[in-house]
Amino acid sequence: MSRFVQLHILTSYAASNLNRDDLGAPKSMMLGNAARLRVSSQSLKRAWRTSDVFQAALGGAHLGTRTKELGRKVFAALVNGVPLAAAWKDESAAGTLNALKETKAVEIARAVAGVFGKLKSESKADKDPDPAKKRVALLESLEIEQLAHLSPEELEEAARLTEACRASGAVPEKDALDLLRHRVKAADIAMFGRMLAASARFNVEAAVQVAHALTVHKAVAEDDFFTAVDDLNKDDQGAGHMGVLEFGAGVFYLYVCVDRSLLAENLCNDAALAAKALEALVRAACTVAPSGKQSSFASRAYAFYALAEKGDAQPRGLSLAFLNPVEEEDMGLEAIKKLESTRESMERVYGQTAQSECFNALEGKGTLDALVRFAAE
Amino acid sequence: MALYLTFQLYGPLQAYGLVAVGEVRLSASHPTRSAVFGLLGAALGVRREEEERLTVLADSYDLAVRTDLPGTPLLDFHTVQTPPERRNRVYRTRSDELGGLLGEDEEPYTILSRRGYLCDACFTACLRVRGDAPPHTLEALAEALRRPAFTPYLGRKSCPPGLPFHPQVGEHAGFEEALAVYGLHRELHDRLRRPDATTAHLDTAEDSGALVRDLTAHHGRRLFVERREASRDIPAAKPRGGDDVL
Repeated sequence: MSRFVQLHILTSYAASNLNRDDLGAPKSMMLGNAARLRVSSQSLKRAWRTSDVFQAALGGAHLGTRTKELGRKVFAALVNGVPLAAAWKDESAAGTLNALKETKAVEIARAVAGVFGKLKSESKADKDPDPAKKRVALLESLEIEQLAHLSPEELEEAARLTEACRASGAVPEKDALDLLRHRVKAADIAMFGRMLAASARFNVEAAVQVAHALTVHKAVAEDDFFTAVDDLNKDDQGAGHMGVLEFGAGVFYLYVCVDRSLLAENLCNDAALAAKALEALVRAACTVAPSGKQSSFASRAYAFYALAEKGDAQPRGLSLAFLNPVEEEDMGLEAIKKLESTRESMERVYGQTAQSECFNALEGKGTLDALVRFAAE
Repeated sequence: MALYLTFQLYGPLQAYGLVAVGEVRLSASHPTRSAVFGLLGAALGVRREEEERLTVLADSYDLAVRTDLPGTPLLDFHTVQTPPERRNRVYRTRSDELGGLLGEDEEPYTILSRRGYLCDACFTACLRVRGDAPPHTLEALAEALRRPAFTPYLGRKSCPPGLPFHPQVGEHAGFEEALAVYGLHRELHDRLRRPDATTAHLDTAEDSGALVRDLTAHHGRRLFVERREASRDIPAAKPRGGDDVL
């Protein structure tokens, strides 16, 4: 298996302000002594991770359950003597397993559910004389405040832990609770990593490197002076509001490099999930735009060209192709030509080779599906 | 005569961290010692927690860095959302952090930071073995750069190299000679501001050099101590492609 998958993507954004600096202007940089517009790496990654493309590609078989009621179910399983799966379907199901006392079951249920979200405050309905009302209040107090998303693996672990607690009759320790989600196969964290100052052992080294996207040509932000009219104002001819909004347009070059070995390692060597994650990444990188100012500009765009490379040799971006800014009128085709010729000459000079695959939407060559398959296989 | 390993560091963006207190994270004007050896460690497949290997690696070679193109500094405005720290609460996914594990009364915090980069800079790094028991031969380091174990980057993960490192090992009389025979990619050479001379930054034992705080004392805790660095004017790189220039 080749270690690195590299993506070189060209996308043309019309008037847009996808990623702003502290003054509200599109981000910029210098390359080849010419000003370029820029979309930062972190802006792109956030857009992809929260995109429908990711959800659709990684949801599927990986789809879990969205619920507030984990604590109630664990409680019911423990006091009614049934496995968690049975209580999941029917909270009142009764069984022959060892039943725990309610006070102990409440403690265990709160500990288990607390791993997945902040719980509601403990029941204050203890004093309620009506046993039915008291029960309802107790069950509600075991709910998580917001919907929690549980993967099938997490549910299995929760069931296993519930049985362990039933056997020991004790509230689970921190280590056992940590195990609950130790195997969480969060593909986005496997790809984009995580750094926590507070608990370094949960740190994950990102398997995906995303460069800042930059325009292949000289580009600067422009000012859009705008006025807003007060609909009810009949006396005064002036505007109700005036403002300036900065924006820019351009053909952006984006480079992404995936370390496939590290991705597999981060996903506990689940090859099928690693392939899915890669598919989701390629699709998102080619079709998802950052959400910045989309209401004002509707600047969503798909890539018009993408090249994927696979190999073990040292990865490198191809921004060199645009060191001399593209000035030709046919900017899209010219950018493709420069990218491909730079790749060829770089391979010749430095003696590296890699397998490749591309699509070109300007000329209707290749497909995104084929590119996705190539990257993931 | 001794063996020297020379390789190039070029990318549209690079970032070499300096002392960073608070929200401003500037970049040094040329690759720091810790960045170069971090890069070599990554190429070799050394992991962050392998303190011993990282320390030995950085202690076993002398380094010189030639500035070919100084680049343009860039200060990027960066926002990050982080969840509030709570005792006994561990966030395991990004969605946990942005909502899943937060109570209805809790909002993620937004942290602002300013991150320094160098746009369009190019440097040439040169290594010589220090002492007589290096953990890797220079040829082994060169091979690691050609086929790295981990994704290489120029100081910050979002800064991929824009050219292969093109490592070369050769026997030379000193750093200056080793650097002199290592050319510059022709398109980059066309952009030299001073085609005759440039600066090399070298490890030095003398007290006269500049104080730089980039000698790693502990990798995991990101502790750095000061060292001396000498700067010397040397001839600028020749364009690559001639017979005698690599």
